[in-house]
Amino acid sequence: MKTIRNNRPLLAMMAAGIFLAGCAPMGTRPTSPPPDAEPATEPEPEVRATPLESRELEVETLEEAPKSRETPQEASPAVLALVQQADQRREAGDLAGAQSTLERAVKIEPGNARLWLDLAQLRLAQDQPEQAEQLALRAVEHARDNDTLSAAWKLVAKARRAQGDEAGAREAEERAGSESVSRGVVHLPA
Amino acid sequence: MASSKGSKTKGRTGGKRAARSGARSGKPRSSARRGGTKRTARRQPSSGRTVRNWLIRLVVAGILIGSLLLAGWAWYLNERVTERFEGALFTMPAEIYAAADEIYVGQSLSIDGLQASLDRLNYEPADSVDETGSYRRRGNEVVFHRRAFHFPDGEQPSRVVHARIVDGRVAELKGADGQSIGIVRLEPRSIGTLYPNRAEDRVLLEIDHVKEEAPLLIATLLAVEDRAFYEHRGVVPTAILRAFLTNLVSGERVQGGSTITQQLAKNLFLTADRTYRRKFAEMIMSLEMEWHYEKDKILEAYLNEVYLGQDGARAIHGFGLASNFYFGRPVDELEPEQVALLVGMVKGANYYNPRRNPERALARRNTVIDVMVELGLADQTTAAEWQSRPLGVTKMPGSRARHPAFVDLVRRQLSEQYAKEDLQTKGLKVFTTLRPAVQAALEESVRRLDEVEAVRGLEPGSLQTAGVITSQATGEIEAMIGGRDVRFEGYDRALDARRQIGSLIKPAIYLTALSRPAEYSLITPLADEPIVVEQRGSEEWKPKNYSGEFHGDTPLIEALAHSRNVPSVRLGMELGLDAVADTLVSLGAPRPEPFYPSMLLGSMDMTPFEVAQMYHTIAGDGFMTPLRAISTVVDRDGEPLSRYSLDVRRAAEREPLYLLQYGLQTVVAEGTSTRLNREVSPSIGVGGKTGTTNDGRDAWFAGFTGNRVGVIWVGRDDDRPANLTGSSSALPLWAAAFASLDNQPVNMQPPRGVAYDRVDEDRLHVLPERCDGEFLPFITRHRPERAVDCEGNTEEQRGGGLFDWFR
Repeated sequence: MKTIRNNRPLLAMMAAGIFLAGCAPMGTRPTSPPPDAEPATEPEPEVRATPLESRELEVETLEEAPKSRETPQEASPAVLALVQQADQRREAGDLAGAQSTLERAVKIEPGNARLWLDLAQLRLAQDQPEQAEQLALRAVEHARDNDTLSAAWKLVAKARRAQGDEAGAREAEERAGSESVSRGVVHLPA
Repeated sequence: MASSKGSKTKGRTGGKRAARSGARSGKPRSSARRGGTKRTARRQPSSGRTVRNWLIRLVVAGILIGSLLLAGWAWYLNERVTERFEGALFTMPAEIYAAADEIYVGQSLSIDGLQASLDRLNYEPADSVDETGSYRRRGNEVVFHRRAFHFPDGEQPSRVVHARIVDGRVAELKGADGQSIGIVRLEPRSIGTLYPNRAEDRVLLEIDHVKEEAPLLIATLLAVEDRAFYEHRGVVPTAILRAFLTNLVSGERVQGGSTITQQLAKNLFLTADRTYRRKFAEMIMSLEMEWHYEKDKILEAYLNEVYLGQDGARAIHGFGLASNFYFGRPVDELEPEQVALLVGMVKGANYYNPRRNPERALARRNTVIDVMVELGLADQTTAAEWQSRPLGVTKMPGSRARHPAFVDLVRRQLSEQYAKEDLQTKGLKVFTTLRPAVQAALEESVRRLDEVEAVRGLEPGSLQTAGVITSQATGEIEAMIGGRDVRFEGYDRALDARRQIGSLIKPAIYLTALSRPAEYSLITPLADEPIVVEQRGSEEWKPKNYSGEFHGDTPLIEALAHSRNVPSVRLGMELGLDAVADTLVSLGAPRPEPFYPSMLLGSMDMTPFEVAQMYHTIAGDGFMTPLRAISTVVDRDGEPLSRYSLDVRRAAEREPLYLLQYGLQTVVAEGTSTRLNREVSPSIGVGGKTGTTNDGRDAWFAGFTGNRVGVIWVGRDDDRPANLTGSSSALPLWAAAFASLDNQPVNMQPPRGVAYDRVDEDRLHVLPERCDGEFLPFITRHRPERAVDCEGNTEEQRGGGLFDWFR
């Protein structure tokens, strides 16, 4: 089995797309939305818009699909710009402003775990641990690399502790240490 | 005469204002007293004639009493003036803004789509983009000069932006300096006020802003209405005298000789009666206003108060609103001839109405342009060119009562937190989530009802509808209609029509099942055989399929895709009604109480809005987001009052939800909703569910793409049988709306813990890895045991077991 060592979400997405396309009843189960983890400097819309159906290609690329989970997400320039702005606002003490800026970003990349993590952190800073926990859990759901996953669970732990849920916090901490994104590798036919 | 009374009044007024400004009050009062003394002196020579004496005393007493009364009146008027000016001059209903369009690199956006965004904000195509609100489209590039806007999260300056669009995608964004930009936010469009039917409405202008950005407006206004505005003290006695004499001669009471201040006094405080008493009060108040306030303050009030037209019950006051109403743009973007038209209309807004009386309006406009030349505001040649231009009025009035159903929702959400009085008067700004392009698509979709009525053999116009479209990522309500007439303000079916939901409930049953992965997967066989359900307090219930047939063992995925009633009821009974009810609640639907078995087929009432909340959760990643229509409320000065943040709540495990979503995609791919594929590309992978109730009373379609969730209801208001089905009657509207949207494909990347495996043709067995066959997703830890061969036979079915295989 080949592996992808560097960041190649596009290839991974193509792989997922091709794989899914092959298995759908109509041959058209689509891939994830385009801006998602997509370096916009090299857009190749035709690849993403039309999932391929060729069997040969399917087999070739399928092998690489599971590794996509360990690929860090790359944000688009739009999201990067917004994250930067949110950071500036947060540093200036404008938490509400930072929050609305991040909400703009999450509209563009709803599957970007980092954004949910940042939102969770902001809510914790605003003394809203319940929402912080929920948002961090959402980051857990979308995490595609182990660092983000671990950070998300750690934040869940922090938010739970702030609510007085010590047992829940410990459980989250344990997961932060042990859980890995490759846990549920897509099972692929040989 | 008028002038002498005027000056006396001024004095008296000053006296009565002693409490307010003592220093100024002394002098005028003594002058009044001097007047009295003079008259007393005249009495001396005729002291012998008692009768005449009496008469004179009577007159003097009369004058004194008159003066006192006059003083009292002036004092009363003065109180009214100061009271009004010290407070907020104008009450303003809360103004509502749509969501701002964002343009970013990598975004799926056609060049026409970008142009449509600019057109909606009334940007003008132009060769040069020096002015804000202009744009130039050339080839695959659009250059536009964005307007400045004060957002709740800060001031956003105006900016020239170059956007290059390649193959329906934003390839590059650059500033005027060539610097690349990641994301650009347009200014949000105002969609009206919270109380659009109030008699008064305004777009407030600030004098400094107008002086800077639209100096021609002020120059022209003063040229036409009051050239000596900055010199006089409220009234111009000679002008009034002239008008008075003219009136005497002509025998009519023609209005004239009024300064801007007098006009303002009349507009703010007095009725339109043309009586001398009113005219007199107007003069007193003008003097009082000028006494208290700066010229600019008076001019600003005038700019915002002047009457410039009528829109049904709504009066168009002020140049700000008028500019919007007639030209669809702010005053600082008006062309000179448009400024001339508005200024000309001051004389008689309805008489010179450019939409109803274009010829009169044109003549009046050109007269004003002549005045501009006279005062050196333009040279002859330029003026002639202006005069040759058309009126330039937008066809449709810049209506402020748009999207009543959505505004209704905003009003309801706000009234939980704000007093009605404040919403009506404090000039709050409400930033909402409405997306004009999505709303337009949804509004457009109601046209399909004509076809639906024709196809289903129904009386034209008998059907009603309601619809909601939300953003998948954030739960923001992007569009909403409350009826077939999308402009009608009244019964809002999206929020208030509680109708049976039919099969729309089924996903809750199947999700409950799939959440027990040890027991259920997409290929679990469900018995489609006759069943009798006992219901407490009512007859036995024998549910049937829509087709009337029974199909024997049916894999779960097909029972869902084809919306089979019998296996769904069996499944629901097996799972337990309470478990299904719990799922409904966690998805964001109201708890059905009591929950009868018949409700498993959707004999429960929900509003389209509630259905949208439920399907929003179904379409998501396992988190429920309360649907929001409002993002921020700020006060008149832009200070934030409340923010409605993006809240989420864990609602379902991601893995079973993924299987359900796959099942709902199968509904469209091969089940009850295949006709959708004709209009929305199958590559989007739409997931959805139809709903039909007894005797075709209600038709529903709820579905999702990668970026939106939409719900459509169709039925009759009187709930009579209408021969409808979800797929024939509601789905066409959904398809029409979504066909014109920027749809992203549903993200079907499996979550951790879900894997695909091959299944046999009957979808009842997982095949060995070496076999061909359709892929279906399974929860990895609970994948059903594999069959032993590629036909899907299990060990026992094969009888001989593995040995046979080697034979």
